[in-house]
Amino acid sequence: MAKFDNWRSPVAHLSEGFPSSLTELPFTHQINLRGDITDKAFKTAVKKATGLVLPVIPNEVGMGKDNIKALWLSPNEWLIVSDHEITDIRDSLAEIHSAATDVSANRIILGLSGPDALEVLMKSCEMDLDPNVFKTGQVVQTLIAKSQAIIEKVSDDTYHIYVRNSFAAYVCEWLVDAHVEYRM
Amino acid sequence: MLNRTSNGGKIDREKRVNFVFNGLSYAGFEGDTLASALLANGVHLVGRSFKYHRPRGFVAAGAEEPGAMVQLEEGAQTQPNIRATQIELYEGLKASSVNVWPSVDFDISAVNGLFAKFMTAGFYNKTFMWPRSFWMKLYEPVIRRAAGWGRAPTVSDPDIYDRMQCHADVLVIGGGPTGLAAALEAGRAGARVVLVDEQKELGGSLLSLNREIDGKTAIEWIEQAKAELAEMPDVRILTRTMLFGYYDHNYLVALEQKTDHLPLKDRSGKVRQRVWHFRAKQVVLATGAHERPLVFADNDRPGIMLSGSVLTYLNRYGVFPGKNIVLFTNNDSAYETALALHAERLKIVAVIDVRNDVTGELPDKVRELGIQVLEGHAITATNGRKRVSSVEVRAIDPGADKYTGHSINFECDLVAMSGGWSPVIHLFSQSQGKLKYDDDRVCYVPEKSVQEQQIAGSCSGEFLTEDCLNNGGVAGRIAAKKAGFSPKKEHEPLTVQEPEMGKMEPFWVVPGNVPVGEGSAKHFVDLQNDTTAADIALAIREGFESSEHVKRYTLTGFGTDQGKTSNINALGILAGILDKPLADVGTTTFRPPYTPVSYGALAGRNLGNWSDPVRVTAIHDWHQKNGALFENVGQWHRPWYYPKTAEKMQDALNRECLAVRNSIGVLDASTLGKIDIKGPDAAEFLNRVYTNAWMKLGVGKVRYGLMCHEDGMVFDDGTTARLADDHFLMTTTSGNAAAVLDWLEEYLQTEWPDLKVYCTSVTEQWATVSVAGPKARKLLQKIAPDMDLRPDSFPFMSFKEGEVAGIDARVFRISFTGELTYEINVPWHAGRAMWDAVMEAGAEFEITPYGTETMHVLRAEKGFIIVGQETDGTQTPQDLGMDWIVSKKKPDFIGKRSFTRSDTAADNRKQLVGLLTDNPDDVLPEGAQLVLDQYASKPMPMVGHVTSSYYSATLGHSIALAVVRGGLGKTGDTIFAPLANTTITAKIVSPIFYDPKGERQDGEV
Repeated sequence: MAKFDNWRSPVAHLSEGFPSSLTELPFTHQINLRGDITDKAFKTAVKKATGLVLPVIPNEVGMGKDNIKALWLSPNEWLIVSDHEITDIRDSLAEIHSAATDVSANRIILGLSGPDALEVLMKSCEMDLDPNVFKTGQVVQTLIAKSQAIIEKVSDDTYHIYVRNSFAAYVCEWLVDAHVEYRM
Repeated sequence: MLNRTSNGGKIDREKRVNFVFNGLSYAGFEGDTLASALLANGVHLVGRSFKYHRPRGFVAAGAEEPGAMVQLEEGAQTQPNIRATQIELYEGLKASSVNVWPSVDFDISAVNGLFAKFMTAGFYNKTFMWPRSFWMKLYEPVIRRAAGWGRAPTVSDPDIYDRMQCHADVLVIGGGPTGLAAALEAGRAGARVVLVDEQKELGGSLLSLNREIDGKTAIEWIEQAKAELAEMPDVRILTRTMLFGYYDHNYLVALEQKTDHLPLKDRSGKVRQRVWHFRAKQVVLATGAHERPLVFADNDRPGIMLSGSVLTYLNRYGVFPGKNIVLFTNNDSAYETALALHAERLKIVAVIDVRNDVTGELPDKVRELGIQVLEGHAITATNGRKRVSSVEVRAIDPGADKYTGHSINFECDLVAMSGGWSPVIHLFSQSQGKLKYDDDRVCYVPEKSVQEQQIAGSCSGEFLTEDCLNNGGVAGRIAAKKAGFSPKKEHEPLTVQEPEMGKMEPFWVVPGNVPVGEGSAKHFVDLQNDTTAADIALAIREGFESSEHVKRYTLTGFGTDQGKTSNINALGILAGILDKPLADVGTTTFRPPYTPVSYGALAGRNLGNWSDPVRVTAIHDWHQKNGALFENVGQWHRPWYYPKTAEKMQDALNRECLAVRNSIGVLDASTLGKIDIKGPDAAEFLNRVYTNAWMKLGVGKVRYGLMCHEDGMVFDDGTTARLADDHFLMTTTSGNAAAVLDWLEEYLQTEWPDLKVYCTSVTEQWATVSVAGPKARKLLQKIAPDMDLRPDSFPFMSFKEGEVAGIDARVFRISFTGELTYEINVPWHAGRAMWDAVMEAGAEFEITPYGTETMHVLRAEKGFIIVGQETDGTQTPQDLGMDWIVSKKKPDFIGKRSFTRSDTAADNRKQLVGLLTDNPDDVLPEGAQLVLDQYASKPMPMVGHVTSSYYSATLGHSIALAVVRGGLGKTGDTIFAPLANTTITAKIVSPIFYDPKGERQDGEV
């Protein structure tokens, strides 16, 4: 049985009320990766399995082959996101001290885009997301309202927001509400 | 509109705006404030004063207005105590006076004025002290009705408020000449600039003063500046935005009024007010200055106004607040007002100047027009009931505390006064900046900044427009530079055509025929709080000499205006009486907010369901549809119990408990914290954080563990499974998941960095469907036919991986109920599918969903603790009767060392016991205190308390868990719970009430 059969989004019941600038992305394969980036074997094994050069600069996103990417979370932690199953990584890392944990069902990913996206985020988040500061290819772990969230900037006016499932409805309701003034 | 000029002003005379004040209809123009429109209609009387209920009118034209507060609108939209000078007029506006009854014209409490002698400062404290009990019952309610201002709304606020976070390189506060110049320069350098101004349009003082800037009119210059700023993509301009709080690290907060200027019908659905939270690299304070009143006898009558405000009404709103005008001043600026009023063909009765030998551009011009100027004179009395009608003027000697000369009487309907200008240093002071008194400028000015800020223009004591513009420009350049930008060209100073200003003379109170404070005349200092110069004198006589004490004793500087017009005068009077230099008196503390902010605005969207995040599981909607009531566990909403129609709580619990004991119950256990622990040292790590041994746990097995803090007190508990040699999955209590992960990370990062272990939170990766009851195996067999469930192959405290209902799952055989239990873990998003499969397969067993309350009863029957219920951070494992889980062999683990402390090892500690009430139907209240001697005199020696208590349907009687001093050695003793009307007697027993040998955990085979 395919991995995502029987899966249901925690915000399925809310998506009808989403403005066009807010969407929930399809389920993806996500792995929380922890390891020592100064360990050459670790780096090489990850590269071999995913094509990814893990970012070492805080809050950067590294891109690999076939749309696979690694979001920097901490000096020894990344979130690997991929459209396709990342099968090889555990085998490659088997002999190396590391942790590659499947977290595909841990968070949903929201897409927020359009000219009002930045203001919607300014209403929701304390971080400085101004385009002069927060650039495409960057990621930040922060709060949306009172829920933890990861915000990734994927293009000039598009953001991906990773939210834990239990907070997902709260965050979606909040973001929908933040859009109201732009839909009037 | 009686009092309008024929043209001019920033109003649109084509657009009439109708409004109602105190039930009467009036009209103003678009661009008016409520104050300017009322003055245009000849209305000066707007309210009654706080204490004496004296008639009061307008003093100022902006935020510094001390009185002129109205009740705005009605019903849910009503707002009390809004300054009429800050209300933009809109069609249909309704307002009324506050603190009046029955009406502003005839106010019964005005009789207070007759008793004024008894109502001086400190009056309440002295008069209503005895008898003490009367304060709450009698004095306070009566005083509160008589004093105070408007009425709070009685229904909930229908409006929408929200919040915006904004980061800036340069935040400019104030959109007058200084702020505009600063924003222009910082913007030209490429900085991210935010310019905030409280007014609906930029310009500040330039809107009131006729100035020529580089050959352009002030209005033209403003338009040009606005156009240039609009072209800059990184400049944000926020008008109608009051910056009200300045906190550490250049964190500032402002209130934007987005719809308050619109007719009510046009506001619906829109955000009414927005609170902006700024973090700025640099702040430019361009907050300007406020004019001070002069303090003289009965200086509070309607029609006695600030001279600069009169000029604002005239030039900006085309309104003249009077036709026969006396000016009273200690500086040159009032002469400019006189000239402007004269140009409108209004009668200047006289200019009264306390100074002698007054010369200079403006006074000379006034004299040239034939206007009488009385030097060395002051207003010593005023007349008029609801509007000033005449003033008495006398010669005064500098430094004298009494006047001697004869009075001259001037009839007038307006007194325009100027006591000099005070920089608006409120925000600077909030930012913890230090002030100094400037003798030349006769005001406090900023001396030392402690944050990244520039202070410019009138806020720094530079009152001339040209200085403001050039100061502001330089400040903007410096701010941009410090924020990392390079201003390009050289700064080009602007030139302004403006009159020169002569020297000001400090002048704090006009003397009377007796020293101030001894006569009956009232020299008002703080018009909002009805504080007089006599009150300050009294405070000092009674020993309150510090400015902070005077403030509290007299109320000077309290209230919605925070003493914007009164503070410096009060300090001047204080210094005069103490015969000290003003610089030695010191100011009081300025605190946020600068002007009042409603609770609604501060709450923003964090209302109702959004006041705190509600965390729910993947199965939440099923629980809702099936009638669950919910309990908060941390932020989680967990099903509490599932009452059927007409079923009482206890009936539902009994049904749910019996289902689990006799057949099958199902619980959504997804909220348990789950932490993936991996690395070659993972077992060693667990060995150190748990009290029991972990090295030899087999792969595929599960073990229960207790975690203690360093003090040896239980902190969390849960089961941990060994997935592989170097790989474990830990569970934590629902409310503690984040705290435990933090705890583990802290130890890994700071204490044991040598351990090779990584932790990853997987709480929300896994949904957990817990199936419990003697028939659980039969159910699971139906949906997991390929899984070998026989007890010897899948024993208690082990797990298996495999397909359940076609979904990849990990099934744990653990138990919190004492019954055979399978906890089926699947990826979160498949949780609902698994639940549905279990419900369907369980139908033949009458599977019963149960909630947290039933879970609590079932585990209490088994004597299982709940961390946070049986424990409160002061229980060791030994206290809980869990010595068996504390390793005696391990060299160390967190908390071990504390178990040998004399207090921790004492035998008379509170220890966990079971209680059985003598009457099996009595259910002890949780939290009930316990005593050994029910007849002991009060206060009775308390030996413990009930931690958990339920009615057990399985056992047919109540059960309770409690902590009791030395309880482990008291089995069989009787103990008492003295309650309000009764005492419940109970016997101390083992906390394991049901199946003590664990014979039920394998279920039906």
